[in-house]
Amino acid sequence: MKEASSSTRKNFLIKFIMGWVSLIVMPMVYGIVEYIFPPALKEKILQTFTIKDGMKNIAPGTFSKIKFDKTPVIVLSSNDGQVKAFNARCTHLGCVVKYRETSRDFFCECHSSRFDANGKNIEGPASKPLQQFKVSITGQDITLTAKM
Amino acid sequence: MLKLNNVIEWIDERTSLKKFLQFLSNKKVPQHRFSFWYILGGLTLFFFITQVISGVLLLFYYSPTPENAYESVQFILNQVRHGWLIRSIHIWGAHLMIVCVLLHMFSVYFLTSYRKPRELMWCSGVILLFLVLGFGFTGYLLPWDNEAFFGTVIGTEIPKSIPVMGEFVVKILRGGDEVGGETLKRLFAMHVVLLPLLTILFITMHITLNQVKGSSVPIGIKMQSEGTPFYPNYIMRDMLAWTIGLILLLSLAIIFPLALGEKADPLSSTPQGIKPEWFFLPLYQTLRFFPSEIAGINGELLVNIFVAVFASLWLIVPFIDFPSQREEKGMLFKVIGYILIIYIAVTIVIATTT
Repeated sequence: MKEASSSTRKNFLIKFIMGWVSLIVMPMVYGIVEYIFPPALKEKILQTFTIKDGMKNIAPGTFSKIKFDKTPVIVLSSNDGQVKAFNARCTHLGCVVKYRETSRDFFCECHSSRFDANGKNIEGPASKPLQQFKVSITGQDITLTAKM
Repeated sequence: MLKLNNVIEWIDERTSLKKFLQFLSNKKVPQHRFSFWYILGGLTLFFFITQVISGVLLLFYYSPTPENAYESVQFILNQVRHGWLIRSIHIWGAHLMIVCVLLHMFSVYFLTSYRKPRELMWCSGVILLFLVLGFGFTGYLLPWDNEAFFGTVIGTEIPKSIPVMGEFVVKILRGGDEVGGETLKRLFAMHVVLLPLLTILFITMHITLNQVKGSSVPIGIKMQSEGTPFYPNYIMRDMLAWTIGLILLLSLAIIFPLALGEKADPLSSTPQGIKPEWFFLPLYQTLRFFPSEIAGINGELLVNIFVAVFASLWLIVPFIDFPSQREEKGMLFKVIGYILIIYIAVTIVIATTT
C-alpha cells in the first residue's frame, strides 16, 4: 500500500515537472531567445559610396584599401586604367584577403584561399568568387554600388 | 526505439543516480507544526538561480565603463526585447532573495536548528547572508545613474573611520580615492565573478551539510510521523513553493518595473533624500542615531565596531547558546532575536519616513 502511494507520488512529481516545463519554462525560454537575439539596429545600410578624387590617388597598375560602410574593399586599377572593386572578405570564413601585386592575386592568410585579379576563386577552400562592386567614374570620383 | 528506462539505466551505470535518489528517498524531513519554515531555504535557492539566469542575460548587453554603463542599461530597457522585464526580474529577485534569506535565518534561529551537529550549517548560512548583502552593495552602482553613484560614494565612505585599516579598505573598494570608472570595474568584477563563486561554494557546503545531517527537530517538539521522504514528497512541496515564488516574482517585475534615473554626474549635487536600499536601512539609521562623538571616540567608528562585534557573535551563535547545547530552551537568545527583529523593523520605518 505504502509502495503504491509512493509510486503515485513519483508519477505525480514527474507530471508536475512536465507541466512546469511546458507551461512556465518553455514560454520563458522562448522569451529568453528573443532577448538574446540582438535587436535590429536602425542604421541605414549604405548602398553607394563615392571615393572623392579616387582616380587621382589610385594610379593605373596600383590598388587601394578602403572601407565601404562596414565592409573592407580593395579597389584595383589595371594598367589600362580600368577600375574594379572587390569585397575583401574571403568567401570561405570571412577573413580579410590581401592583394599581392607581384602575383596579381588575392590571398587569404587564414586558410590559403587564392582569387585571381577578377575575384575568381582559383585555389584553396573558398568555393565562391569575391563579391564585386559596380564601379562608375565621374570626373576623378569613383562611385561604388553594392550589387543587389 | 529508445526507451526512457534504457536512458535512465545508461545514466545510472555511469553516475549511480539511482543510489543517489535512494539516498534522497531514505532521507526524512521531520513533520511537525513548524515544518512550514523548512520551505524557505529552497525558496532562497530558487531566487538565487533566477538571479544567476537574469544576471547572465543582463551581461549580454551591459558594459561596465562610465562612458557606456548607463547607455547600455538604457539600451537594455528601450531596444532589447523583454530587456525591461529581465532587469526588473533581476532587481525584484534580489529583494525577494534577501527577504527569504532573512526569514530563513530567523526561522532557524528561533527554532534553534543550529544546535549540534548543525553548527557549521548555521555558520555557512550567515556567511551566505553577508555575501547576499555584498551582492546588493556591489550591484547598486552598476546602472551608473545619479542615485547609484552617490549611494556608492556614501557606502564606500563608511569604513573610513576605522583606524589604520579604514583608508586602505576604502581605496580597495574604490580603486582610488574617489568613486569613478575604477570603482565601477571592480564592483562589477566582484558582483559577477568573485561573489558568485564564493556564494556557489558556500551554497554547496550548506546544502551538502543539510543533506548529510538532515533538518533539525525543534527542542521539545513531538513529531507527527516518522517524517516525509525528501524525494519525491518533499521536492514536490518545494516545487509548489518555487511556482508560487516565480508567480510572485513575475507579478512584481511586471506590475512595478523599475526606472532608471539621470546619468551619474559626479559634479552634480547629491540627489535629495538619498537613501540606501531597505536592507541597508538599519545600518543607515544606526549611523544617524549615533552622535558624531561619544566620550571622545568617533561615532561612526563606534557603529563600525558595534556592527563588526555583533556580526561576529551572530556567526558563532551555535557555540555560545549554551542552553540549546544541552537541548534546553533558553530565554536569552530568544529575547535577543525579538529585539533584533524589532530594531530592524523600527529602523526601517524611521529611515523611510524621516
